[in-house]
Amino acid sequence: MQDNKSSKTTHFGYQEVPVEEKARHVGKVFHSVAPKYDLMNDVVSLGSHRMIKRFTVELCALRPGQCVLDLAGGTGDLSLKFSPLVGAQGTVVLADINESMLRMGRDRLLDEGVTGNVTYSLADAEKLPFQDDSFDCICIAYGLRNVTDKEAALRAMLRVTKPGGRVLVLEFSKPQNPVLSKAYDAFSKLWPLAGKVVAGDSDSYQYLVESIRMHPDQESLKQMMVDAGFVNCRYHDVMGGICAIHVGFKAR
Amino acid sequence: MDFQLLTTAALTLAETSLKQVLAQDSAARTKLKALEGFSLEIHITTPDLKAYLSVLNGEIKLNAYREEPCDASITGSPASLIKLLVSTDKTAVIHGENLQIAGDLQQTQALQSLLADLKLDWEYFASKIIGDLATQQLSDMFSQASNWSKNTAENLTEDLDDYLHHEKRLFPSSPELQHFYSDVDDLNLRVDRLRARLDKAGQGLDRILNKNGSGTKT
Repeated sequence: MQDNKSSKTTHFGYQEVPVEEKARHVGKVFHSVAPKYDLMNDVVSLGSHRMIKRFTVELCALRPGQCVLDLAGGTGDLSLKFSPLVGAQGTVVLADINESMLRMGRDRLLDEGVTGNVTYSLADAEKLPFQDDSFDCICIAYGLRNVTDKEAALRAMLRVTKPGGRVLVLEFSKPQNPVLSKAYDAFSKLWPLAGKVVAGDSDSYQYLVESIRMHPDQESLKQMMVDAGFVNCRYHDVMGGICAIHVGFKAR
Repeated sequence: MDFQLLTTAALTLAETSLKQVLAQDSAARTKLKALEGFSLEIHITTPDLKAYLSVLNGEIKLNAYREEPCDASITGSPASLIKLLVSTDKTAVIHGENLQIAGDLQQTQALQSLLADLKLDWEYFASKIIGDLATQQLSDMFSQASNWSKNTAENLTEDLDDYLHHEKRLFPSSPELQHFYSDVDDLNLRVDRLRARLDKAGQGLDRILNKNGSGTKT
């Protein structure tokens, strides 16, 4: 008799792959893109990803002494900003499922002299290895769309958030304006070519384009957060909805 | 939300510049240490915009978003706020202009004095923030109901059509095409008639040639 799990498939971009293989496929993508990750972010976002991340950090409303999880934090962009905000009494945990990305993040933070309040964790967002009620804030920036079981990841995030704490999901979303949507579609068709030129890898950026298309839209993701148990869920469109920042809280 | 993103970009510019200037001014850094932890809400009345200044780890941070209340707040027009930073008689500015200050006045004045002494081009930063925010019209358009985009798309298509046909004359217009087809039809008819006449003339020539050939006497 065929195993039920092995007959289940999920999307990897536009491809259908067995559920248990998606993480491996995604892993290959990020092992490949890790060295040029930030540069490619600049290319595909026309430099705006830095401002968007900065604004996301502001929405985290961190205070000295707090504990924050930078989930799927990869190269450490956000951890770099979180560290001075939580101060010496606070903690930043930089977590990623991909060893190459995590190593880059750690090296980068060390190069910037950020060491005292940051710890590193090789962690799967669906099975977070932290105790319940650990974090004042969890932020997952441009990571959720790569997770195989997003609902499981959201439930895991809720579990490890402190009562009253918040989770932020920054991710590509659906532009609200049809003209912008068409312009953005046309622009994103160039990404695999840019990936070829900048990082010597067009397939990974083809996956990037496709994974954005397959990701839930604003209202769908908000509902997923509500279904996972978050309260006061809302979202902020950025760049006309090209990206969105979803915020949800754990009830006290 | 794009409004706040633009504000974030402008504030980042100011924050980075402040950091660079402070790095070269040890006296200012010493004064800033005395203000560690101080936070100020800056409310610009036109355009309606709030920014938040805080002193954290010896640096000045500028945010577009903040949840915690600030130690003090200052409200005024861009011109009034700029004067606060460039005028030599600061007391007169505070009391004379349309400025409202609430909260910790002493630390607010200490900060104002520090910033004014830095001799930064505050008018440039203000113009950057306000100039960038003038483009919030773009973000307003993006967030409007689909009517705008639908109308714009339709108008764009019509305008583009007109442009390509009449302005650039890259493509013939429909009436021009119809006229052309009509000319082609007319030409076809004339060619057919000419062919018919040639055929008839040919047949006549054949008859003449045959008649002469058969009537040849020896």
